Amino acid sequence: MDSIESIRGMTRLDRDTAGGASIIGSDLGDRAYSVITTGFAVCIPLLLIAIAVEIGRAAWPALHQFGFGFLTSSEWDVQAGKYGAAPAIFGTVVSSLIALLIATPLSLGVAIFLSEFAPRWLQTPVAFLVDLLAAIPSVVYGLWAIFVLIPLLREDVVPFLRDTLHFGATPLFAGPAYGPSMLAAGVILAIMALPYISAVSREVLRAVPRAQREAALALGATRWEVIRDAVIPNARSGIIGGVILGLGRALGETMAVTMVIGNRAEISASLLAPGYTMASLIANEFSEATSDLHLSALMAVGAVLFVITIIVNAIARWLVWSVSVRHET
Amino acid sequence: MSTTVVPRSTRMNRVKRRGMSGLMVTLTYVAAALATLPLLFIIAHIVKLGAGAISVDLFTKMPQPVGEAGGGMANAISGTLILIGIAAAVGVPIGIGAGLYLAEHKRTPLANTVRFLSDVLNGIPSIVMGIFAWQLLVRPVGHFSALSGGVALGAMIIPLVTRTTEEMILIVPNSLREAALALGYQRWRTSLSVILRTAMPGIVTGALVAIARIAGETAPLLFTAFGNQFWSTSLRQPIAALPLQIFTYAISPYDEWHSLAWAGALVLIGIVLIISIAARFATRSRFGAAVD
Amino acid sequence: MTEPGIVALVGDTDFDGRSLASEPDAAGHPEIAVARQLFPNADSRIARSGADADVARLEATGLNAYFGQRHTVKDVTLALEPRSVTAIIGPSGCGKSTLLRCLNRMHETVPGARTTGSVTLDGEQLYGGGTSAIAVRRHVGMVFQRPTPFPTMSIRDNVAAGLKTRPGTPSRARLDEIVEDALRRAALWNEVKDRLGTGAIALSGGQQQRLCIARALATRPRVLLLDEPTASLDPASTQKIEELVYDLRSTVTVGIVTHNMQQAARVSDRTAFMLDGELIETAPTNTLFTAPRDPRTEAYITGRFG
Repeated sequence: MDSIESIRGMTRLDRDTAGGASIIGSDLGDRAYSVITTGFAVCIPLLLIAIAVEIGRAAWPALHQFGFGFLTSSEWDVQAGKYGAAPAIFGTVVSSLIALLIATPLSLGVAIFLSEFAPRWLQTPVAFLVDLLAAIPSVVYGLWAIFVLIPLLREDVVPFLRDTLHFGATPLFAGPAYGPSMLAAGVILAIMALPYISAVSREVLRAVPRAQREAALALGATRWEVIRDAVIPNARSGIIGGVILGLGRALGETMAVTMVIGNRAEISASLLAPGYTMASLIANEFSEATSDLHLSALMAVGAVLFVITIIVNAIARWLVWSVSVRHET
Repeated sequence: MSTTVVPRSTRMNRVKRRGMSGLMVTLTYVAAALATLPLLFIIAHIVKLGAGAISVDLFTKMPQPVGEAGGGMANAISGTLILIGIAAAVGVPIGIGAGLYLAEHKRTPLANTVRFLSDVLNGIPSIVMGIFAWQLLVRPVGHFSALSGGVALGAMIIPLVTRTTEEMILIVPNSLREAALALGYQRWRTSLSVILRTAMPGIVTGALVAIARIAGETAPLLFTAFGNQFWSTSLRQPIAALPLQIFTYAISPYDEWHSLAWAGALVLIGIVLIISIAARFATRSRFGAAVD
Repeated sequence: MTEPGIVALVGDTDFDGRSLASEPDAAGHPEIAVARQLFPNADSRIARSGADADVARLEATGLNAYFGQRHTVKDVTLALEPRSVTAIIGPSGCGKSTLLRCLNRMHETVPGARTTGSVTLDGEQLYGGGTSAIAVRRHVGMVFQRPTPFPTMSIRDNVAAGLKTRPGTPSRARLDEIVEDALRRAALWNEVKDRLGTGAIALSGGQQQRLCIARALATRPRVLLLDEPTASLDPASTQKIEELVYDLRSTVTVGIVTHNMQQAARVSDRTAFMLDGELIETAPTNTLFTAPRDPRTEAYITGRFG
């Protein structure tokens, strides 16, 4: 039983020029859809350009005034209007290095544990707990660091390292240890970088084909030798990529560092001395910046941080990507 | 191709190698234990020190000056909710739109560029986002605002939502697209009514995960939302936020503020947890079966 | 001034689809004259009424299909006769699915795909002449090898899904009628009539496939193409679908691709055999299977390859 509605469908084939509105609508609809999604997608490059432009613009006065010396001068004197970012750059590098020194072996250890040795029932909970570290907000890390980590360092760890192990003889552990220090920053950054390095390492270790492991076992290798000789070499660039990814995270960390590093624009050899990172410098002084030059200098520090993190993250991504490509071929 | 070099096996050698292996394996167990410790420590402290300071007042009262009893974080909690609301309104639509674009254009030069730049955007430190938002939205108008804070957070959400949207859409089997086209659907209707709709639960999950991530961000808010000791819901005024409040209290010299900081941390983690659980629920499709 | 869109109901006329106003001479066709008298201002289209209106002849002439440089369908001329089931058989990779997909312009949705030649539906060119692919697909429906119900929609919404793109919104009651009609024609009504609002993915594989058939039928296409519809189904579901395909012949022209020769023998009136992109032989099913003309056809149906 047919009615007008079904007959409508029976009209001769619609042409583009005439025929149902829904056909013309389709062309318009498709075009609108394309324009809209492209527009949204293009927001991303535009946003990035906007960030670069705005920060560059604001940083220009300071960069212009101090030139290349901005990066090398260690004199950051707000009163005198002299701004050199070297202490902040130094602090960023050192605290991140400490973080990597601590986090990399730990992360690698966890990753190897999870991908090679862990009994099945342990795998999920351990992985979950490690990954959960990434979910804790930075400010909560800082809070914990102030009231738990720093006293722990001051009362237990540092005396142990300085006196019992006699590290105090080295310049690394010289000077008074009041609490906020480069070491504290490095440790908290290590905890924050751990989940990232561990996650990437786990992935690349798992991506190494079983055949490699089995071949080594068949040749009589011990469990450790299998890992050292068959698995890790294949995953090496991916692991390095993971480490650099962790580095990228550590470089940009602000709140936890600001709360434990002491915020002093000084370069010191001692890990126990307070210092500055680029991120904590900005966080600490931005709201109180009185002069335009001060503001511009802070923006310039931001610009340097911006560029450094982009480069580091690009390297990390390229390394991780090259591993996945190699295993696909 | 890797060559596996295994030392020549003599008895002494074998014992030594096995010992070494045992040692290293033990070390990885140790590493695993050490790696899980911090989390347990932190959670334990937050719960212990924060639970003590939790009270109804925390959720209903405004901050009091030091020395006066009572006082809570009601404005900070509502401020955080408002800020993540703005961030979601800004970041999620752009992320979904960009994700749709990337999923459909796959490997064209523009798509590859956008995908790459999205990753770059993701890696930008949150403090840099903060000073960018300040330069763009605070400096010209001369005062801090909730809007600028929300926008800074929203910009951080974009790359996360873009990536999950693209992934979720690529998971939808192409046969569904064909089925829709074969029915006479236009391309736009196929993409929206069928593909996007099918991928929605996963996309919502991704959006919620992204929101949970930025709910705890402090640095972008330092010079945008700035914080406010009074109750405010206005977009054009500075606004309190939980992470900002925790920061202020933590670095202060007052003990009662310290315990409020712990309480605030507990509430913040609670909020992040609730959003994450909601994200898990989002993956269930309307009809009860989990869509994977 | 004409009134667009009025459709004149006329009987069995050869002018199906053409404009009333443009027909210069209605001599010998009294129904045209009557329609003109009834609708003097109509810019109307002539259409058949009743079940006859569903009769359609789909014809491919000199059809070639390419995936980039790969020539998958070579100069095929094949007709799907009205009110019949035509099966296309052949070994894997012979191009039968590609051929089918050219008939409703689905082939071109693949990047790098190309077609040459012509396909007509009751004389209307499907390629070229400004015809849009979307329009074609609304008149030529397709069901695929794997069941593809829309997972976020209920059974009812799935069946009605194709109606969304048609002009006009039917009333809820009318919609229910259409849904029921389609589900009955797809032999699924009795199994789902009590749960039309539940999710379509809860159905079994065979039911999902019948749902897809119902979805394709709900829009009253003139031709229904089935691409190995039972390949992923169990024997019981396969049988149900074969029966309903057989029954569909009275209302829809059916083309079915199958790798199962017995299936072709069971459901079709005519069978076409393809090999390496070429159409080797077309004949009434009985004839093709008992007395094939081409030795290659005989080799295939006796199981010597494929």
